[in-house]
Amino acid sequence: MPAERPQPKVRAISCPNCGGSVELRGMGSSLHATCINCLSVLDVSHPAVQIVQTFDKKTRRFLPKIPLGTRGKIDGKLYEVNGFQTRALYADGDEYTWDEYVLYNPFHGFRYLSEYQGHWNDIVSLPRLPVGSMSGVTVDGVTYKKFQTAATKTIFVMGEFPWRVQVGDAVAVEDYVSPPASVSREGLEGEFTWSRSTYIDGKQIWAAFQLKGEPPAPQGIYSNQPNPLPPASGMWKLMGLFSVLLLVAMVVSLVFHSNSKVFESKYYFIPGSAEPSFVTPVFDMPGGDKNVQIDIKTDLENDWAFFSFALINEQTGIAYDFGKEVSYYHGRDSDGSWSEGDRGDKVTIGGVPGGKYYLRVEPEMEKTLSSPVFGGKRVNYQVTVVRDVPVIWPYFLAWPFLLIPPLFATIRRSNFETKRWAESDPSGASGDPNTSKEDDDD
Amino acid sequence: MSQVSQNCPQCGAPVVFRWSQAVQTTCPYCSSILVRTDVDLEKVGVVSDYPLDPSPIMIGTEGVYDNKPFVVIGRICYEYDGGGWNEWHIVFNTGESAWLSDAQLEYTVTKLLPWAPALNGQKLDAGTMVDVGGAYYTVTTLTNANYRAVEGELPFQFWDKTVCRFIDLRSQDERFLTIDHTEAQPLLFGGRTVGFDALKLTNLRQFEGW
Repeated sequence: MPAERPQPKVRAISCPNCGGSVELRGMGSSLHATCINCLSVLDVSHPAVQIVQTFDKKTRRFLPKIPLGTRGKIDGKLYEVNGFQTRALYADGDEYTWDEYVLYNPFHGFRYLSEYQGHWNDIVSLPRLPVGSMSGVTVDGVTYKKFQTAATKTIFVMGEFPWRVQVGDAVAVEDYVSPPASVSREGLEGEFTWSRSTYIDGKQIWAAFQLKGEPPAPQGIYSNQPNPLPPASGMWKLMGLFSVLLLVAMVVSLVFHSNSKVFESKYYFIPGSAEPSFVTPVFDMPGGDKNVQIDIKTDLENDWAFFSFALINEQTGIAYDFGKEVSYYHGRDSDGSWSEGDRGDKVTIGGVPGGKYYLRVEPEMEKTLSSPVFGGKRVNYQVTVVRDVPVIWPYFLAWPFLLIPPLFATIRRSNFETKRWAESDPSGASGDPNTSKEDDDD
Repeated sequence: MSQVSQNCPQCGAPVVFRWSQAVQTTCPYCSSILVRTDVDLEKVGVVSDYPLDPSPIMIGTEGVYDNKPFVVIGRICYEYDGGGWNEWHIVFNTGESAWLSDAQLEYTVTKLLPWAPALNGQKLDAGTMVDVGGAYYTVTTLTNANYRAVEGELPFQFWDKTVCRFIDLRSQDERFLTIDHTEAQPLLFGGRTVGFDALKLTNLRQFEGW
């Protein structure tokens, strides 16, 4: 049999700095690894291990929240946490630090997790180049909006890495966002790599890696965190649907009310008459409890009249008393012709039981002889009684209330977006992100 | 595939060619690098050692690309500052051959393409865009690599190289080009990046604990 090359397995080395024993789990894929004892960065890409960087005592230490060596399934594939680094970004004099984890599977390769103040991202490399556009980049038909350009620095390293990592590594990063994903370009001097991050709930990571306790609660809003508030478009559609229903209900009410004239008669009134009040003949109002509308039409000219009515049930004697003032004035002045009031008016009474009714009418006017017509003034009027009129004003009153929920949802959602983008710094080099040279503004 | 069997001039072990067009192979017993002459095998060198090799692929691994089954019959190992990688020589059941690279455990299949005249006189720096065959590619990386080792059957003689220069270009889809400047006449390879699952690889290496 030919000499089979040995099966890759965990490789034990001794640290050339402190002599401590270090286990390498990267199966030959790691270029740099740190000694677990003295945190020296070691070059493990060759059988002879060399020191790259000894740990500076002034270096801040950070603790991985997922212990190195932990295995968990992401996207249905088993990964082992092999490396951990803390990176920092400097903006407006402030330092922002976040953690990154190197996940390894000997077949599927590498994947990364990042965590910033409880916000986690699942990161994979992007084997294609995004297309630049005015506001950002497009990948697979999705447009990502420019979020920020930043100079970053590695400030702590632990475990194994498939690249030559060390403390102090400086990389320019450009982020483009389309929640729940974002794409990032990292690199210097024209050589860039692109990756795609997908926002992931910390609880999912805790479950995947079977970690104890609870994931840290996310603080603030992260650049590619999905807006937890649903888009208001659904509510707007619902509002549109309700508007249509309201309209249909209104039309149905117009159609189904009988709107029948049960009485109509013409009268006149001369102020100063001995007995102005009179009663109408009895008329029939069919059906159960329905509304009644009394219309008055007059021929008033620059005058007013007051009508006292009583709608009286002939059988029971129950009376509905109401009054209505009608006034109409018009004329012409320097601004042109004007008018005020109306010659007619109407009164609606709801829930009037069916039966035989009559009206008692008592008109009233000023006695003053202001009319040029000889023999004093006189008003002609007509009284009409309509049974079961459709009422549409409540529909118009209800409609604005339908606007409230979608309007509220839209405002709440847009508040979240405002906070998200408040952290962004989309200024910087525009144009094709693949060809523009990076200006490292530290 | 008709197999041709000969004996290693170094150790006498039988050397089998899986692919009739192979020009070079390595003896699986003594690691001698053997070149085919008209009648016999000639030993031209010996493989010193294989670098730390994280690849799950090995000679005999089978897979599928573009719905065509292939088998891995050889490889060239390269090494550069950013790590090592293999160009696995794969042969399809149609007799065509291609290359499967595993850099950073990301898998890319490429085939030798006719030289693109669009590349003539182009200064290919990182970020340069070129139109090759109607598609736009951007130069993403320039790599100076060292040849480390060979194994198995190759379509050409390859064993005494030192520095090899590669220019990688990517497109807006998963297409990929690489220009190999190892020889005086540069060679153009084109293909695309493929996910591990999509290659449907079988007969892979085993990793202890995985």
